Amino acid sequence: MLNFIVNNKEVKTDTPSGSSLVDFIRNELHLYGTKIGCREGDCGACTILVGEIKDGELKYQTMNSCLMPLGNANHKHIVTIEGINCPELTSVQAAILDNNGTQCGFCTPGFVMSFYGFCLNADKEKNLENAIEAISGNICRCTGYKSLEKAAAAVVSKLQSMPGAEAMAWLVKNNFLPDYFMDIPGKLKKITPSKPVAVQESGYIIAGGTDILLQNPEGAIESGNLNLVYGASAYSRIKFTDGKCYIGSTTTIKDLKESLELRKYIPKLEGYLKLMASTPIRNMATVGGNIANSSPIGDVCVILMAFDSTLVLRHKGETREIKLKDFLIGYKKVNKEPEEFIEWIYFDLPDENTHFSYEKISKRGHLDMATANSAMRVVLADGVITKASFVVGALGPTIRYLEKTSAYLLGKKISNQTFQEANRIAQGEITPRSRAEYKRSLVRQQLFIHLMNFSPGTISLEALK
Amino acid sequence: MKNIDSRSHVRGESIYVNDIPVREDTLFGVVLGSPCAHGKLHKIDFSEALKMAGVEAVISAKDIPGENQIGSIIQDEELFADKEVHYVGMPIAMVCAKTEALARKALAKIKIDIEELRPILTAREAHAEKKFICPSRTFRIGDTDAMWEKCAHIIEGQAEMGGQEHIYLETQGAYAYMLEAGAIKIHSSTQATKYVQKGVSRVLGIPMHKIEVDVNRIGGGFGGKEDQATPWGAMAALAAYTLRKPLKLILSRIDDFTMTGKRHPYSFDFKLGLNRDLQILCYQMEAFQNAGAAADVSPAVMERTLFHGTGSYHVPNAKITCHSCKTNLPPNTAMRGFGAPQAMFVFEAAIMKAAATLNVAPLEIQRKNLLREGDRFPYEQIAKNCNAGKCWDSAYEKFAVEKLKKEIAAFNKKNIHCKKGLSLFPLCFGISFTKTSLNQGRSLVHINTDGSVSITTGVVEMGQGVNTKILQVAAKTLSISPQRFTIHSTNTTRIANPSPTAASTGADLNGKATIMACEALRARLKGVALQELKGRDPDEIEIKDEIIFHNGSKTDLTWERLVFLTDEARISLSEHAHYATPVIHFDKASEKGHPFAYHVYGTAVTAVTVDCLRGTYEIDLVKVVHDFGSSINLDIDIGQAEGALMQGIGLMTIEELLVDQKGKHIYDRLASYKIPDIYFAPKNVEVVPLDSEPDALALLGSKAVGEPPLMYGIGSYFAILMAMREFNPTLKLDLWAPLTHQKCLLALYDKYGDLLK
Ligand SMILES: Cc1cc2nc3c(=O)[nH]c(=O)nc-3n(C[C@H](O)[C@H](O)[C@H](O)COP(=O)(O)OP(=O)(O)OC[C@H]3O[C@@H](n4cnc5c(N)ncnc54)[C@H](O)[C@@H]3O)c2cc1C
Ligand code: FES
Ligand code: FES
Repeated sequence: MLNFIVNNKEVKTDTPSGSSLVDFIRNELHLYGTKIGCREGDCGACTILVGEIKDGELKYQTMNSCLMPLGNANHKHIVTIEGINCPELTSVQAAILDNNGTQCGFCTPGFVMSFYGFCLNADKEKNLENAIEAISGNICRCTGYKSLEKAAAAVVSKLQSMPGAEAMAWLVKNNFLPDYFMDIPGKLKKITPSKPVAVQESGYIIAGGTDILLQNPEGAIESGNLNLVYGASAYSRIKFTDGKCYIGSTTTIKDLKESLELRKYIPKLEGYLKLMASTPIRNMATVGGNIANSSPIGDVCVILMAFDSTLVLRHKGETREIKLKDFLIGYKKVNKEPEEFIEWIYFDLPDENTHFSYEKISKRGHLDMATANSAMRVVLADGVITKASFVVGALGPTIRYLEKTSAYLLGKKISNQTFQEANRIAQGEITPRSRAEYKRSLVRQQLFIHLMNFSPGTISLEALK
Repeated sequence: MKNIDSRSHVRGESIYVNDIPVREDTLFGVVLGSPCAHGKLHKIDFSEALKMAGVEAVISAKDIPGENQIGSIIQDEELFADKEVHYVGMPIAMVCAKTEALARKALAKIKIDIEELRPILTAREAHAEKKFICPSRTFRIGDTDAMWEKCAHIIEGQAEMGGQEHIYLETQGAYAYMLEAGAIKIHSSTQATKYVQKGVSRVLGIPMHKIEVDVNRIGGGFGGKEDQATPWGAMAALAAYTLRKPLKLILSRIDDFTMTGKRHPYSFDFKLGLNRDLQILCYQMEAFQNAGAAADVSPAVMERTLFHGTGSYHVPNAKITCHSCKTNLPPNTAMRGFGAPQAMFVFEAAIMKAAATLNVAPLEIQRKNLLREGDRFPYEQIAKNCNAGKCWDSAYEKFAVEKLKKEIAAFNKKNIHCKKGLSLFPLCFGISFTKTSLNQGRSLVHINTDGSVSITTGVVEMGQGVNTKILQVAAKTLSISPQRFTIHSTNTTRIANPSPTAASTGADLNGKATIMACEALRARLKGVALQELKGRDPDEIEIKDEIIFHNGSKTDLTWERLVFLTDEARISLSEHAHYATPVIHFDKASEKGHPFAYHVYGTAVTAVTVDCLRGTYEIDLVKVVHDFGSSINLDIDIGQAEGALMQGIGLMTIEELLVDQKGKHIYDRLASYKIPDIYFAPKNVEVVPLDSEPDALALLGSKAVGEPPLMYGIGSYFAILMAMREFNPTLKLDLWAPLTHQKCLLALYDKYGDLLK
């Protein structure tokens, strides 16, 4: 029996945990404001807010209800567009209307909810850039977005006087939210069990569900024994010990992206991960899921493999370790038992001589899978490469650590000649299956860019000619 | 006035087909599409599917009581494949079950035995094998054959333009149920209630009066729901009719993608002749339209390609030919622009090639040859109120193009990895359905006895704001508050035989009809007021802002009272009006006439930055001077322009459709077919209305706006190309849209191919 709150009502249901939240909202609760445009996390029409008590505080974030397993709503506050409506238009709704941000209207509830994700996100400064990022997972085919940008600016300006503390009360008072929101913390506390989410020893593992509900929705519904690990407190964190960084497997991509500590070691991480999926998907998708689904385009995997990361796995009470590069063995194939759980992924913290660079090219800059992605990590001593790893994704059945290319770079200074030779070796190592000429070109360009990032003064465009 | 639907939109209260309350015994349909592009259908075995609990039926061609035929212009399209399949995704059967998930599961159990035949996938292949949808057509003006030798420069080449998927956010769908006495009602997400009604009538073999089609609104159409909403309406109706239970059919995104047609891919041969002063003397173009497996509206799309063959330019000698080629792709269909973007693209491509060959800026050739007042189009119509030059010059000045050019040149000098490019694109788009008979609109206006007004027209609201405009003109004509109006759903029982909501004409045609109806009602009301106020001449009475004036002075007679008195006097408070666009005509035999009520003009300035290391680009700005006439609603019109522009940019850049050798779409869902997102939108968009004369045939002088601005997107293609040439001056000019990141990178480094070995 699942127990959660939808808008201002408590809900109890026996509907399978693996089924999609959007179907529950529309077909069982008959709330039709949440729309379905794709069922693949790629349009945002189904966006809803998910609130939960974290560290004693009620926090909301957006998710795509089409890919959200119903079980992940347990003990949470789910807000649909109906739960936002007040007798008069709210400030967000008025901002969209005033700026002509809606035409056919089908995408609109999703945009409204994403704007709320922005309003309710206490961690983010209330500026235009963050407002746009909040709605960047929403596709609109009618408006061309400029009017929605103006709406975003209007929302930002309305929020300027919002205080840091008691934000909810301010939002209620300033015509953003209906007043029942003030009662939610109390109601949630009542239904939240004292024990936090814990990982089971067995069962079909579902974390964010963004991959499972896309690939195999039936399987998730029909599997009797689910191991719902999203939000598991033991593994939803990043820790730094003994010169190593340990990323808990249920850490979301969003938390990874926003980790200030990690940014000290990988300064551009936030920018890299902004290119991965969308705001609501990053709120749902976990690091463990990105690794376990073993997609050849996996951004997190490419990055972590370049750091020569190691996984800690647990199965039936036993733990073992394996290098990430040995873990991914084929297209969506990994070196693990079906119910074996990834606990951690860890890597040595880079020192000041370590340099890292990541590149991703896709058909569309954002919310798109890589056509080619690659990461390079080098250690430089007096301009000489003493350690190197070059990892490429999206080129075949699985992500590849290019051993020969990496080995070649050892002992070299970065120069046009180094690039040309490394490229020759890399081209020999890769075997793109489709769009081969383009993908090969991308690997060449990315290799060039990585080396240029490390040593802009010693390599030039001439190398490409 | 803001779009009247915005309030319910932002509250999530707007009702689309999938939100209509359903009866408890409703069944859900899932359609089985052909797995191969061309083949003989030997056997279909439903038995395993039917064994599943909750599966009610699988319906297919054999269940059709009427005709298995839904073709509109040409009767060449089956609802369900009977003996042969002609494209991947061609409907073969529909599973009807208690839930959609069940239906989908059952679908996987159907076994089909198909003997695969060789598919034809490109227009040129079909042309070589003489597979045509309809006879090819040619528009001619002057004498091209004689002129070539007078040309100082002759530029020849080929160009290609890919298709485009509509991606209306609401997928296709319908909900059908039986009424009494053999009548049936269909809620459909269609732009054309009549087409669904006709299609259902034919498939069920029952007369049109038994069929009610209702559309509250649709979640985007862009042409994709003009002809192609019909099959889903017909399938839902067929199931409801044969099973006597309501059925809802909402296509999944992937089914929608595979089963429905798209914008037509075109292939072109062109030849452009200029004199020494860069004046265009001669243009010859042969277009090969990839129509897909059935006619759909392809003959009409081909016609618009011919009409726009010379773009926004004056071409004294032209020969423009188009072949509509039959291939094994889903039947390609209407999409915003309707054959015109393709024609304009190839003309611009020819200019680009000429400019590159002659080493001049494309702008020089463009400006010199813009249409002027009184110029003759190849189809004989004369350019009147021609704003081509006005738009260009005004854009050039307003947006400081000279300065922009300098800034870009300075940037390009300074930067080696990034290059900027600039383009101007002039637009000229003809308004009216090219098929003259479609140019009629209808409106039914009821004044209720409480003084409120209910309006139904033939037009479908799909986000373009047409209902808002209808309301505006009605409120203006009756001179009463907009609050008094409701615009009702489009429904065949209230408005019969409407033209599809297409060709940007919805507001013009149905708005004009609404004005006519309101004028008739106003005259009647004035008559009653005259009697009540004991006047002599109807001209003594005026209704203004709900106040009734007699001889210029306010009276105590209220709007409500006047309406009440009219009803008491047994004078009708209802009016149905019909509008047919005057003046227009066209003779297909000679390919000459006056097909368009008017033309819409504009000029777009586009600047882009290409990251030459990554082969990616960003659109920096698009600034447009657009000829709205005298817009009655700039909020809506600018929204249309911005949205169309974005769709046009997508068409020219990142939206790529590809089929594999077996005719299956490789990019067939939102995860792989990428349309612009908010980060892809140009950083700076400005749409400035041109000061222009209102056109009498436009609605209150407000020109049609749905389609024309889409073509501004063409500018982005050439701006990117210009930037690429800065990086690689010997760039091979492959004139092949869309200019994806892939094509961009490969072209930037085309001479460095050996680095891949
Ligand atoms: C719209 C969209 C866009 C996307 N864009 C990108 C992108 O740009 N780049 C990219 O890299 N990825 C992208 N993805 C993929 C996304 O990153 C993955 O779906 C996500 O990381 C999976 O995490 P999850 O928690 O949702 O996994 P789930 O769907 O819950 O699980 C996925 C698989 O992993 C297993 N699993 C999950 N956690 C564990 C664990 N701790 N131990 C063992 N097994 C586990 C599950 O059993 C299941 O087999 C995108 C996905 C979507 C829907
Ligand atoms: S329906 Fe498109 S993201 Fe969920
Ligand atoms: S308003 Fe139609 S998709 Fe956004």
